[in-house]
Amino acid sequence: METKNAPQKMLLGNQAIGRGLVEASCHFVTSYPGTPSSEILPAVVLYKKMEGLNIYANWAVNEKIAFDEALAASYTGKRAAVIMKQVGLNVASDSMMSAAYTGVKGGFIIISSDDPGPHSSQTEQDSRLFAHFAKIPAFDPSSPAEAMEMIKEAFEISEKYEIPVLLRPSLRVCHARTNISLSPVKWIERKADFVKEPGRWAATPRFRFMLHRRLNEKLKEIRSDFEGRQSLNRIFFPDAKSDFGIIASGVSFSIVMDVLKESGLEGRHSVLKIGTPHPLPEKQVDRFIQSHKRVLVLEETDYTIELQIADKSKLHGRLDGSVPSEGELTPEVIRRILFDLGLADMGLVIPKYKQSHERLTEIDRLVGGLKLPPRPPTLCPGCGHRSAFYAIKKVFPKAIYASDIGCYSLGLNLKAVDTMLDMGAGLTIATGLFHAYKQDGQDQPIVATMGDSTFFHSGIPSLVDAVYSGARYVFVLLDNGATAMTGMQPTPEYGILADGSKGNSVPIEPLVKACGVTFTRTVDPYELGRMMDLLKEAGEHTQKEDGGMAVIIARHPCLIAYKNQTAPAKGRVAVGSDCDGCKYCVTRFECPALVYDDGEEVVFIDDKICSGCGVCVEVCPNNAIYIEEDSI
Amino acid sequence: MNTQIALAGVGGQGILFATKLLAETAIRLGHGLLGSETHGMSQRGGSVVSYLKIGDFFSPLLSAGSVDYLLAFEANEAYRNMHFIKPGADGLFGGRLYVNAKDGFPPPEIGEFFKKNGIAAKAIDADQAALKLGAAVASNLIMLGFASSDPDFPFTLEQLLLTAEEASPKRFKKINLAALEQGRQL
Repeated sequence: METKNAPQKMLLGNQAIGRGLVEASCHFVTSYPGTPSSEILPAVVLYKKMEGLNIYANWAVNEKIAFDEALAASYTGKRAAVIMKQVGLNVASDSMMSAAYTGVKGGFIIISSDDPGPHSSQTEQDSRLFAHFAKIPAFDPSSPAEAMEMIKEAFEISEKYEIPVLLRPSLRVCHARTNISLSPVKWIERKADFVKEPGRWAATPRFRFMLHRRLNEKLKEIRSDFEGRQSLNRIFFPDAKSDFGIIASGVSFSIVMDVLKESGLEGRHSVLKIGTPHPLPEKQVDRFIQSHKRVLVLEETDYTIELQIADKSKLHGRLDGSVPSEGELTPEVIRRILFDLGLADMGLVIPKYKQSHERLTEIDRLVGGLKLPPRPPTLCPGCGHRSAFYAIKKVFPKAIYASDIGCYSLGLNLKAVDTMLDMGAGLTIATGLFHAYKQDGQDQPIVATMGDSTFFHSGIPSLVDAVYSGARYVFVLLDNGATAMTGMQPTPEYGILADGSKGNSVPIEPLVKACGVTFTRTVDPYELGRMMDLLKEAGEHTQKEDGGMAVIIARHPCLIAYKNQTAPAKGRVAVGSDCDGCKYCVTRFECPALVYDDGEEVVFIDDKICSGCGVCVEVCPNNAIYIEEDSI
Repeated sequence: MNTQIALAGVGGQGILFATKLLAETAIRLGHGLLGSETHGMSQRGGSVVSYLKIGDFFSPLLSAGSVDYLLAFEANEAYRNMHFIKPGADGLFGGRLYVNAKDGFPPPEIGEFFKKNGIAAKAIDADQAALKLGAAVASNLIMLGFASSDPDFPFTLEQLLLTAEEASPKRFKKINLAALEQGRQL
């Protein structure tokens, strides 16, 4: 039964999107990594190499910079795309709002991956609402294969109307794994050719008014264009008898199709699949609503479609509370919605649903009784950040710890993170806290932490402002040489580009000094003693009359990203008989390789995951942890 | 064939690689495939679950009570994900649970639940088997090898070996193949 030369490939959704960009002759792609979007750019790199194509593909320092660079390529007539996660779109939104007015030349796609749940983000925001706000079209794929196809149509729309277009894959598209048929690349040769047109590219407010009018006209034209496109918006089971209809888009469409089938309801209800939630194909939607008595709207992450429907009297959705306003629309949630709306009366779902509900309640009781250990994400064994946090807590036990987005957010477990707002806020919140206390004459110690990639992303202007405004606190720059949490993408410091080639290195120390910082020291946080000494010195600098901001660059390469380049293990770490089971190391150092044995009431080392960094040797108050002599 | 499989464990246990192996095998055999996996923050030592739906499906997510095979790389993750397992009906077995655990799995109350709901659960000490092979990290493939001994499992050992041959990085190839074989023997 094995098929030879299978024409299909197994791809991650993000790889399919990357492939789709290459197939559609996208000449220029930029991105800033962020889950769940991070694997798209590497896929572009993979396929451009495989196909031998001249595609510019690189990581930018942040999403706004990525956006502008790709937009400029579109100004020259090339097809361009910029990729980010949904909160990255906030950073790029200034450019997006304006680019909607000026429009584009070559096709321009903004890919913003949403994270309903949320699983790896600070918000559940709906990028499609941003498209509505910016007045640009939004495409909402329900599967990796559809995302790949949509890219071709999105470029077509973008070039036809000279407008930026949003493609919004959600987490379950990005991180789905599926079989995909690859199509040949339809390469279009385009040489950069920027045509000066100040009324657009350098529009002043008077021209902006005209551009706004033109944008509104474009939206009307695109709306009617979408009405006729079966490939994007169409009805499944148009002949279904039920007067209860469903409008669904994105992954919610895929899930409701599976749920209807599993519940024995397949074919009983018409499902209008919306591929372009903005601008909504209003006529098509109105006709669908008119031919039903009740209509359920299923969409993620918020109510983009529902908002645009003028007559909501027949609608069930987020606005009338039928659909939860937070969290991911999983199969269970959608089943519950259908059940609560009485769809079960028409199908076979009642007995199944009841049974399964009772079964789940019993499982909850049984598993609840086991008191399973919660398993929050933790810093890896041997992570340099852990040592840095430990030292910070030791030296500044009473500080407020302002931190940021990255692996080091997990310093939460060590109680070394008190605030975590968004990218760059480790410094800005610290500066604000400093001045808020200082204004009352209070001397409150504050320690800011931020990773290297985040420092490049938005930390630099924040540090300039800290110095400029006269803030005085210790900033520990946690430098592991990679954008680690999102998959170890390179940073400007190491100067490696997205395709692995050599760019220019931008070293951190001179940058920090150039921001006006007068105290800058670099240390490997594995050297706990030295790190603590430097922290004390830094604290003193913030107090001195001629002092000011103090920055410590705690540099230890990410153990995962630089597996072969990090210092070798110091030896086999072991716990001796002096361990009295005080749990100090487990709670204060929180390394996953330190395991408390409930039976023996002592700590042991999990050799399978211990990195051999040996830092815990210095942490144990009883000197019970040691490196085995013969293992060195 | 419509088969739904869940793989559950913690970061670092090789779940993504095991998932990839099953998915590649399904595609080589010409089956439709949809799956979903954990990336990003949750990968850092937290619980990791990946889903595989082989056959004809729209969405990559699993529903409670729909999974034919739950491969748990650790007992606690087995409990955490047991709601996915399909209950049996009409005296027939439903889904199966293979868990990497030492003796004492499942505790009596949960064993009773499995029995009542027609769920076949079996514990195998994959860690021990992997240690014997001299590669503690290979327990993921021991689990897959073991699952392949189930005649209803969608893939045979030979099919998995073929994929592992192609998909394994050079330095792990030998150990991966040995682990699959070893698992099949358990």
